[in-house]
Amino acid sequence: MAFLVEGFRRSFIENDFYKIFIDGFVATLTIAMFAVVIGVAIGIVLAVVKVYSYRTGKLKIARFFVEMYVTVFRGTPVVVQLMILYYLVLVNIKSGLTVAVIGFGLNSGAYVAEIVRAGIMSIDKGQSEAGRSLGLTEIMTMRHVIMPQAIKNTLPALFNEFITLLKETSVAGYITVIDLTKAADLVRSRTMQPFFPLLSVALIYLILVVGLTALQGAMERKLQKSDRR
Amino acid sequence: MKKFRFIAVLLLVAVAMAGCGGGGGDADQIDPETGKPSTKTGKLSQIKDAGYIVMYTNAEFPPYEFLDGNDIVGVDVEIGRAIADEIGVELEVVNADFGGLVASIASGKGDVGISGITVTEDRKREVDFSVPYVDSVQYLIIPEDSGIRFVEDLATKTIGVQTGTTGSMLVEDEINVGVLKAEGGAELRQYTSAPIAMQDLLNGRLDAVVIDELVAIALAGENPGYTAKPFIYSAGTPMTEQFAVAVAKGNEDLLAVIDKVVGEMVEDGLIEHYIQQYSE
Repeated sequence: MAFLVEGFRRSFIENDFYKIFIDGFVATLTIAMFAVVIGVAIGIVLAVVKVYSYRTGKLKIARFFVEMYVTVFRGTPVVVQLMILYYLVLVNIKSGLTVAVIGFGLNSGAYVAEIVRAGIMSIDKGQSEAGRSLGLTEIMTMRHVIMPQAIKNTLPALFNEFITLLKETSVAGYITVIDLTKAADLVRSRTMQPFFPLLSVALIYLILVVGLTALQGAMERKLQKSDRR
Repeated sequence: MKKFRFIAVLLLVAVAMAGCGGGGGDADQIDPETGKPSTKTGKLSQIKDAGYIVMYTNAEFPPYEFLDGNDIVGVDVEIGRAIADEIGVELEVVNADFGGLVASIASGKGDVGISGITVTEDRKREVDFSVPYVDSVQYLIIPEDSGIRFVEDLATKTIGVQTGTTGSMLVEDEINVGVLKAEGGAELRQYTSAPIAMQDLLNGRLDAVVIDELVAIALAGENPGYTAKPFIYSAGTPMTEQFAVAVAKGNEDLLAVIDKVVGEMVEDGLIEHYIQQYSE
């Protein structure tokens, strides 16, 4: 027991190390939340462009760029992308946190694009034909008929992506961000005791993911209300 | 309600895992054959039986250790080889993250840690150190036209360090409780290696990098327009420190061999010779 108490004291209380964990927690949440917003925005735009282009045969050049985007961001590790962004591309942005938000957002966009595309494709073609024959434009049909159904269908896959993203932020330390994982790393490098830092951040990630899962359940239940069964 | 129960179960699992971890640590000290608590004095014979000694290092710290092609070379590797030769076994070098290096030695993953490790009170609580083999000074890497001269000048500046190094601890302490605490403080940025911190200095995100003497000189030498100088306080006191070999606590027999080898290398000027050789 004395070993545990002493370990706890050195990992959290001595030198005010708990503050590093709190700052890390805030950084992890900040990156994840902003990146999700950017990722979803990018993903929806990319998916719509791709599906629209496939169905109508227009926007071929845009489609080419979308496919390039998805290939590159899905085809390389996110930590490599982050380091390229931080050390080579966005060198004028001083804050590692900002670069991390942009990097994870861009990366997530590629995954969300494919998820949303699958959602759109899952909606029967008759739906869009019905919308069109009722006098809605292509865009109105997409916005008011297809997307509401598509997003509902993709919710489990989207939350899967959010959970992955939240955990992937743990590599942000590579670009000088002190996130939750890097906080554990720093404290560990000072105390030379990996026990409390590692287990406590694992627990925090777990609680965050359990929270996200609960949110997913609540949203799914809410969206199911309109289902005819 | 169900969800709460689920979370409670998860917490239990985590605590149970934690318990196992602690138990495992205790079990390490029990000799598996006799069932009695071992004094770990058998480490040397274990190494002899295995036929090799495992050295942990972070090969991003020239001239002490760095990658030459696929090989890890440098002053510390020469020390490791001399120790292996003395015992009569092969040397196996593991390239690890510096931040976790001392912990790896303390937990017995590696037999010796030789990675320009500075002897500090914090680290002495976790591992034993050999006699020191070099005296080192913390250095600053700054642009030649920089106005930074002393530690105190770093107030309000952004400083890059390598995680887990003494430079990082030193600057951190100065920011938290030392001379850099007042006047808006200073921002500290953590990097996994010195060269990548240097890259961010070139990118303009940093005002200075704090790192060991020889590493600083090597990095500044490679980048025209940058200079390396001792990290001193305005009162003129430099920050000196000593490098030594780390071994897990309680391995007196192994430590005795290492002390002998390291002592001889220092006395014969071999360390100095290797520093020269690998700095070129």
